[in-house]
Amino acid sequence: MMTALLRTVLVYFAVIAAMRLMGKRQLGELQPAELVTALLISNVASICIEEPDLPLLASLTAIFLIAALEILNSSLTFYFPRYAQLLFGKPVTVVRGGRVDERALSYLRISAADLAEALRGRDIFDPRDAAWAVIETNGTLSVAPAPAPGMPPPMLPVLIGGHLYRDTLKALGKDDAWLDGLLAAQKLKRGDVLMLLHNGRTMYLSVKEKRPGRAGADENGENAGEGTA
Amino acid sequence: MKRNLYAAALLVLLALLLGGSGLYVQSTGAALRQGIDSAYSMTLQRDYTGARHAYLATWQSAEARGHVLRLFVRRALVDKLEETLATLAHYAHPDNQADLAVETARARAQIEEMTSSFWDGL
Repeated sequence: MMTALLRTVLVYFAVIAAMRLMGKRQLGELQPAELVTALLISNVASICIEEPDLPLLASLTAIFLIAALEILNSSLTFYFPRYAQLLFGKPVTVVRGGRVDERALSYLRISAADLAEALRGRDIFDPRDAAWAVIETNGTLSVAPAPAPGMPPPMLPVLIGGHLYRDTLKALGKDDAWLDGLLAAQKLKRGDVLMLLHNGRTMYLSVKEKRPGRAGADENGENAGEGTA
Repeated sequence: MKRNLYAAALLVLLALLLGGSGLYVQSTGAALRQGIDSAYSMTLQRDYTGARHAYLATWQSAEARGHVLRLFVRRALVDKLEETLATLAHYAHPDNQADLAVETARARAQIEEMTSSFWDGL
């Protein structure tokens, strides 16, 4: 009995330490790889508690090994966007300019009723009230409401972390040559861009710093640019 | 990214921990094997008193190391080995030579099973 209690306490703190090590990313949004991590850790922890015959070190090692692999894997996805896309998939636009994209729904195997329900969850009762809606890689629905008369349309992602959003380009009526011309005017290449958003009138451009680990400094607006295109 | 360093440090720590615990299991197995081998050779030389003491010492050593061993290998394997070692001293008698041979072989096999359980692959 005491063994089970002691193991429970140890595993409890080990799982907390592992989750803390993995960071808030693990708790806030569950990508497929992160869901697998959470499931594996919870299973290993419960087996360790239920099975006193199993050596404690084997379970604790497994928990921390999974945590370390998750951290290294998430770093790989940070440095290699293509790997991230392979692992997480890519966001899919389901409503564009108030029109529901049936092909996207069929690709995602989401029924119109599911979409309507998800839109209602975001206080959108008429798809025409959504300028743009996208199913994110973690399965959540993001919606940009249609702008009020006289207000600018919402900013849409064009190029983020090396990933080109062709849907947006198409929606804006632009092409690759336009994008390359826009970047050339700023003396930039696609690889230099951390985040490029556009709404057809104005753009938001954030450039990568040389060290990828410091890319977050853009939030201060130090090298963020805004302009018309 | 600091977290990568933590992950790398964690992997190194786990590797060291696994290596260290593997060595502990290995050395404990070797010490126990040596203990029962020397005890059994005493019985072959008809030194039954010395053999009884040697078997008891081996059992006590196994019990002392058992608490740590249970962290690394299955509890059932350690329990089984301790039970076998506990009986060996009582067989160290001229009338029980055959039983002692069987039980000593059993203990050797259990030590082997315990050490290999740590290093076994899939």
